[in-house]
Amino acid sequence: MPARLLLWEPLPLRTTRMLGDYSVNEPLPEVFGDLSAAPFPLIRLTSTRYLAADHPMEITGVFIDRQATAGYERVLTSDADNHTWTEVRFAAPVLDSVAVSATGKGKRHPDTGELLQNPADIAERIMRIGGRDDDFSALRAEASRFAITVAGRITGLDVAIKDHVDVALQSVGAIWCPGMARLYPSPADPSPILDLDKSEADPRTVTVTASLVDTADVLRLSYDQSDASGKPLHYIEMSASPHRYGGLSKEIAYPMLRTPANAEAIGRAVLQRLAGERYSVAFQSSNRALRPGMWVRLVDNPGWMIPGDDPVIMVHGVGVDPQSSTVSVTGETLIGTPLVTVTAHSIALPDTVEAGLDVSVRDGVATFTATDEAGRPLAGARISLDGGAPKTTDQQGRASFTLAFGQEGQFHEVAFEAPGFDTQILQVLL
Amino acid sequence: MRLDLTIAGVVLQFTQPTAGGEYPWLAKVGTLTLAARAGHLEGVGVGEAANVSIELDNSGKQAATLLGFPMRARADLYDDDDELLLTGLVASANYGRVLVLGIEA
Repeated sequence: MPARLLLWEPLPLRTTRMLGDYSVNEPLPEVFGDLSAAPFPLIRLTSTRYLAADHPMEITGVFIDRQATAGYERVLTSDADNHTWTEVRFAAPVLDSVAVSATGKGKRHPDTGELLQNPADIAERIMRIGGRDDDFSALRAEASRFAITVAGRITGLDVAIKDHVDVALQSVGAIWCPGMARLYPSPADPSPILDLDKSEADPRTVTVTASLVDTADVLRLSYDQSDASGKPLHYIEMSASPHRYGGLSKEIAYPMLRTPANAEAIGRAVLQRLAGERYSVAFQSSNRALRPGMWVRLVDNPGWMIPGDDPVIMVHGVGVDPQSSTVSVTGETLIGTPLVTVTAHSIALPDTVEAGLDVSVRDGVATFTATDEAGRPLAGARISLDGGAPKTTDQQGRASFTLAFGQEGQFHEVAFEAPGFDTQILQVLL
Repeated sequence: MRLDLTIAGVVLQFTQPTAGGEYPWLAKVGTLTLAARAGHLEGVGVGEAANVSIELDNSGKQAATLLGFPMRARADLYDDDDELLLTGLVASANYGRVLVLGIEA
C-alpha cells in the first residue's frame, strides 16, 4: 500500500506521462459502475490511441463528435509492473479538435468479477489510492439493503481525497468521516439504535434547537450526470405535505446516482429531513464509545422537553476531552416527517444532436421542450410519441402529450423532426 | 492516555508522567473532535478531518532529539482504557519547552 496521505492532500492518480512520452499530463481515471447510458470522455494519447480507464473495463460504445462509431478496438495494455489499463484504438487518425467519448462498464471485483457499484466500493478505493485503510462496511451493507448503486469516474489532478469521497458519497445521500460512512437520512427505519438512559446522557446538559437553516418543502434532485457534457441527464421533483417552510424549494445534485428508483428513495429521505420537524440536539454522555454515524435513543430523559416519543438521534459529532469523563455529542432528530409525493420527473437530452429536447412529466402529462443549438425555444418542430400523430411545438418550443393510465414509468419512443436539424428517434423513460 | 508515534518503523510510546513508561513526556492532550461530513446537507457540519493537538515535555530538548523531524509520522492515540481514539499523521510541530504536535486523521 502507498504511503498514507491526509484527507486534504491530493489523490495521487497515475497520469498519462507514466504511460509514455505523451504531450499532455492528464490523470488516468478509474471507472465504476454501469455507464452504458452515460458517456464519459476518453483521454487522447495519440491520434489513434485513447485511454478509457486505468484498469480493465468493458466498452459498450464509442462516439466521435457524439456520433456512434464502430471503427474502434478495445485493447488492454500492461506495463512492466503488470499494471493494466483500457485503451480504445481507432483504425484511422482522429482530429485533436474532436470530442471522443465512450460508454461502458467499470472496474470489477478481482475475486468475484462483480461490477463495483456499491458507493462504499468507490470510497474505499479512493482511500486505498491515498494509502488509507478506512472501512466503510456499514455503508456497504445499507446500500445493499436498499439496492442503491452508483456509477462514475475518479479523476482530476490536484483534487483532495476528501473531495473525491464527498462526490461519491453525497451522490447517495451519505455522511462520512474517517472510518465511518452511513446513509443519512436513512430511506427506512434506521438500525441499530443504541439506547442511552439518563445515566449515559446527562439530562442537565441536553439542549434542543430548531432553526430555519437548510429547510425546504420542495426538492429538485438532479442525477445521472454525463461526464462527457458535465450535465445531469435526469431530474426528479418532490413535494412535501404539509408545507412547513413557505413552499421553499431546493436543488441538490447527485451526479453518480443513476437510476430513478434510487433517486426517488434517497430524495424522499432527504426531503423528509428538509421539510420535517427537525431538531439539533447536544448533550454530554458518559458513553465514550459514541461516534459520528451512530443512531442513539434518549430513553426517558428528563432533559428532553418535547412531547412525544423518545427521540432517535443521528450522532453527527463527538468531542473527546481527555480531561473529562464525558464526551460532547451533537446530532439531530426528525419528528413528524411529512408525506412526500413525486411531482415531476424529467429527462434532459443535451448530448444527442445539435437540437436539444427536454421532457418533464407532471400529473400524467408529458411536456417536451425543443431547443436549438443555442438553447433557444424551437417552434415548429414535430414531435410524436409511440408512433402516434405528431404535434407541433409552440413558440415556447413545447408540445404536450397526455399519458394513458399506467403508461408512466415506462419507456416510450419519441420521434423529433425540425427543419435544419437531425431527425431523432429516442427511447425515453416517462 | 498514550500516544504511539511510528518513526522509521519504530514505535515510540509516550505516556503521562504519572503512568511511567519509557517516554513519560505526554504533558497534555487537547480535545479531539470527530465530525461527520455531508456536503448534500447544509445543516450537517462539513468539518475538517478529526484532529488533536498533543504536547510533549521538551524542557531538555529530549522530545525534539528523539523525534527529529516527525512530519507525516503515523500517530495512534489511545485513551486510559487502551481504546484507540484516533489514527492519523503528524501534520505540524511547534518547538518550545513543550513540543506541540498537530495530529490529523
